[in-house]
Amino acid sequence: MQAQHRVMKASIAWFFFIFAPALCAKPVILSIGDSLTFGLGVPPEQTWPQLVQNKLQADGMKDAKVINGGSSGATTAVGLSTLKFHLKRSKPDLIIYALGANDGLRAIDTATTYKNISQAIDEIQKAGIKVLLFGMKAPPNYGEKFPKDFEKIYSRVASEKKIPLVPFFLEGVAGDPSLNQADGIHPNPKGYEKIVTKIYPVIKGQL
Amino acid sequence: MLFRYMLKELRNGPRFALLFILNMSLGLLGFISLDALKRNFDDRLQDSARTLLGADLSISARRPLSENETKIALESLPRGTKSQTTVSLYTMAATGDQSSLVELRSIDDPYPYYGDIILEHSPSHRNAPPLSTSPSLWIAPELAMKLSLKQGSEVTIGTQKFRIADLIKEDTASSIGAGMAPRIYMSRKWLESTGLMAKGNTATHSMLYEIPSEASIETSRIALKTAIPDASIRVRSYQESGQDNGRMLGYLSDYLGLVALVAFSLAGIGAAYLYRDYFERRSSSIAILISLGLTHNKALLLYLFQVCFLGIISAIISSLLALGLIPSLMVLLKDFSPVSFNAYLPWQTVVLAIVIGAIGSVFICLPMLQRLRYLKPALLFHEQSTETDGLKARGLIAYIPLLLAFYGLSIWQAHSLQVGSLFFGMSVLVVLIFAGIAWCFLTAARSFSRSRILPLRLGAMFLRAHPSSTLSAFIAIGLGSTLINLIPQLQSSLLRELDNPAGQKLPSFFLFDIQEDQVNELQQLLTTLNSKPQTTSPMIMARLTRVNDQDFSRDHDEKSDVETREAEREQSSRNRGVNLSYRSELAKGESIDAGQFFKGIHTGDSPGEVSLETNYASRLKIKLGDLLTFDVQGLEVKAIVTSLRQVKWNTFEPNFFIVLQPGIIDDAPKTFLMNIPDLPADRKIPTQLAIVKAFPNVSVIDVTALVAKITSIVEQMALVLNVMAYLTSFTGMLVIYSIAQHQALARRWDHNLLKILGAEFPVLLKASAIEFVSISGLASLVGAAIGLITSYAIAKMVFKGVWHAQFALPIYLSLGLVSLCLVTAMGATIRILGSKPELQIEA
Repeated sequence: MQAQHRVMKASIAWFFFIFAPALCAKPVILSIGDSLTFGLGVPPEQTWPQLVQNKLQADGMKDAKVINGGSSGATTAVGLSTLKFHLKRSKPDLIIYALGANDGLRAIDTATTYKNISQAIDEIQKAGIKVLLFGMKAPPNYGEKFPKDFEKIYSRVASEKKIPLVPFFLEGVAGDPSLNQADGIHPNPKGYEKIVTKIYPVIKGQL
Repeated sequence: MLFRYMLKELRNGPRFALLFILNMSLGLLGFISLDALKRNFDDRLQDSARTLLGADLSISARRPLSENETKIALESLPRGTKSQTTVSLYTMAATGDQSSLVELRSIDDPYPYYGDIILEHSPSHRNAPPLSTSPSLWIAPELAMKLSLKQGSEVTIGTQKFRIADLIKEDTASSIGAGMAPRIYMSRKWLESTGLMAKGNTATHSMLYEIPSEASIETSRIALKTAIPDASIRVRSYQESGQDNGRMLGYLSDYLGLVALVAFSLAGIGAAYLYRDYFERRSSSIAILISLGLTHNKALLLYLFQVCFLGIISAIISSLLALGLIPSLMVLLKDFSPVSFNAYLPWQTVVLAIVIGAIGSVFICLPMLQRLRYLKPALLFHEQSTETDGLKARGLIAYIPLLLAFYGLSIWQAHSLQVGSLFFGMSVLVVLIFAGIAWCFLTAARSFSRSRILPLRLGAMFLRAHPSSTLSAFIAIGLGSTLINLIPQLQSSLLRELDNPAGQKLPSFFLFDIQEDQVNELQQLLTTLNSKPQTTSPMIMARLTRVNDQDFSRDHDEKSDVETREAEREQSSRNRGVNLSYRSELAKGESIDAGQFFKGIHTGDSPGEVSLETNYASRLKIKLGDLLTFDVQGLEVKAIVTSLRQVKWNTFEPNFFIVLQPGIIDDAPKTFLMNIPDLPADRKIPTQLAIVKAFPNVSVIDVTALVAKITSIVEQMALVLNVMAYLTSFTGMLVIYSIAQHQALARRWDHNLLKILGAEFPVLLKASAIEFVSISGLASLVGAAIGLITSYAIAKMVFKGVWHAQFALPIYLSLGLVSLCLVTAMGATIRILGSKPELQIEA
């Protein structure tokens, strides 16, 4: 019990120390996502959250901070706990929800994915934070029905919760070998640059 | 003329010729058997590895390979190379309202080049109707169970309907590693008709190659890599496909090399000992021949020819014996092994034996034979030979060819400069140590030569009367004991590495992506299913950003521009992210290599502690005391490396390269991994379906086939280790027997003289026993100790610290060796004492 108390105290102190710069920054954007947000295979400075932060700072928002909350392999199931973890410590100005690619690749039942995204968006809205939803598609080799059902999840959540949506996060990048790494799934630095040129105006519009 | 005289010489010393041939034959028989077994095991393991890839080489990419690329690739490979295409992808299989994710592999005939797909209604897919004749599939049984399918059922893949042609019983051609979904096979002919290959698909396109047997796989792999510089195309050889066991296979190969060397060394020790004695006895006869006009060079040639002849005869005899022995050995092994072995004697082994028999014998005997060139007829008038300093120096030079040949053979047999050099260096050191101890032993024997106890006095006198003979017997027995002890110690260490910890059960399922709030509910569900997870481990995804405050995303030793496929892969792997876990104690199958595991729970703002897997740390050039900085969800976490761990990967538990001290990141977003042990076959699919139904986000991977495959390879390895250790011990014992036998016979003149002078039979027997027990006892014990130390050094340097000594073993082996020497020597002494003394002296 005493040990638990010590751990809790230390964690609070530690996270305040870590979060101090983020708390002073304006605006703060939290990006929750998977390996596409984490930037698997590329250095941290070439991931899309970092590129967006650079652009915001170049556009005059010198204190802008984009927190990279991406985890490789994450599905929408982990979205809620990730969200709670961050919201316990800070209140960002905008949360970008970019989970779901792994649900699509693992063909997780679309009702489950819808429920997970929906609950996470409710939690964000309850906290009074703006949210931007990044849509995903399942690859065409998953047949006809599943990719269609999967894609619909995002438009359904966006319309039900009345939140802005980027319909397909990898638009113009997916399927182009010159913009992806050897695995054909994860964008390379050029791919991330192209993604940012598309999503940046939408993000800036939400601030 | 020379040949005739050589034969006459051999007829004059039939006992020597017989013992030399017997000894060399036994040593070479051990060598040949071990070499043949090693080649057999190598072949088996190579075959197993080939079936994992289904080919010798492959190239694959997440895009279709262009015609030009496949043409260039084929042209870079040896003439006669066969190729075929496969396309693998994840897709949905649907029937009625139900659908399931499947791993689809579309293939051409004859897939695969190595391995087999055993079907429910056909012992091999090669005998089944081909999938290309109509839209049909072979499917994994778990899919059949999940979608209620059977042979003849219809299932839709994309836009095409397929008939289930058969169910897969065993897929020996599957690559090692468990897939995310059940596998189905279809002919590539029908792939386009499914409509799955639209732009943006995530299919993997592969070319499989079968290289002509005479061509080198490694050379072909390098040629293929050079011909296709595109980093998005992965080039793999079958040796790279089974990396899970790579470390153990590497150890096994080094071990087999050492065993072959030990067998050869044992034969060499025996031969050198026998020839030394023979040459000393023949010196007077040679001196007579030289005084009668035979030139020194001709005398040298005569004896070189003789030794070479004996070596070849020994090699031929041992090859003939091996021809009979190996098939019986293989038949015997069949009862113990899950795999069959080919009962043949490879021609390379026979050639090797003849070359080693002939040249090896010459090199072994050369240090003695070189004395011939300086032998003077005046020797006839000396009681004992006198060696000048010049002769001693030249004698040492004569060892150089032997040492060079032994060094070369060590490297060749060990397949490694490091292991070969280590073995050679240690052998030389051990000989020097034994020579030193033997000298001390002879000096100590002096104090017993005035003892009042007659047998003790006589025993000491026997030892000191022929110092060179005592010295060489001591060194030979000691070296034999060292080598006999070395192999079982290494065997015991490696077997421990292969063993699972006590109480460890093999898993049936791996569960991952379990959310924190699902852990308890899942455990409850498993309880209702009459099951229980063996381990539950938290997993946190992070990025290693800095090591000692240096950016980790790029290798600072490399050029900054990504120029090569390897450099690109290296940079990519540094940015793949790492999976962290935390716990307060070591997991089963883990041991600390360096440093100390965590001291309690971390508190405060200072960096916490982190433990790394030893090989992982060495790959990343991270050492104890380094400060690592992780990015966890945008937060910076610092930890100091306080321990390096050895992890047994064959425990089949969730293992982590990086484990953090509890209290550092416990509340970070995480998922959990579980493994469920040993489910009976009939409960597996219902359990899997129940978990997926209750927790749709949780992935359940059936690892039974994977575990069975790895377990089978591990069993083969354990079998190799055991058989080789027993054979080496047997070979060593035979060599020691021949040394003891000869040493006892060499004492016949002394024994008979004492008998004529009135010494009693029991006194002579006791004296002989004292002599042999003291030589063999001391040499065996020192040899056992050196064997133990050497096994530790080899384990540390070659097997990355895998050392688990058996301390009772040296005692048993020493007792065995002493008993063997004593019984052999006593038998020989009794025979000598039982014969007429005059006859022995006259001979």
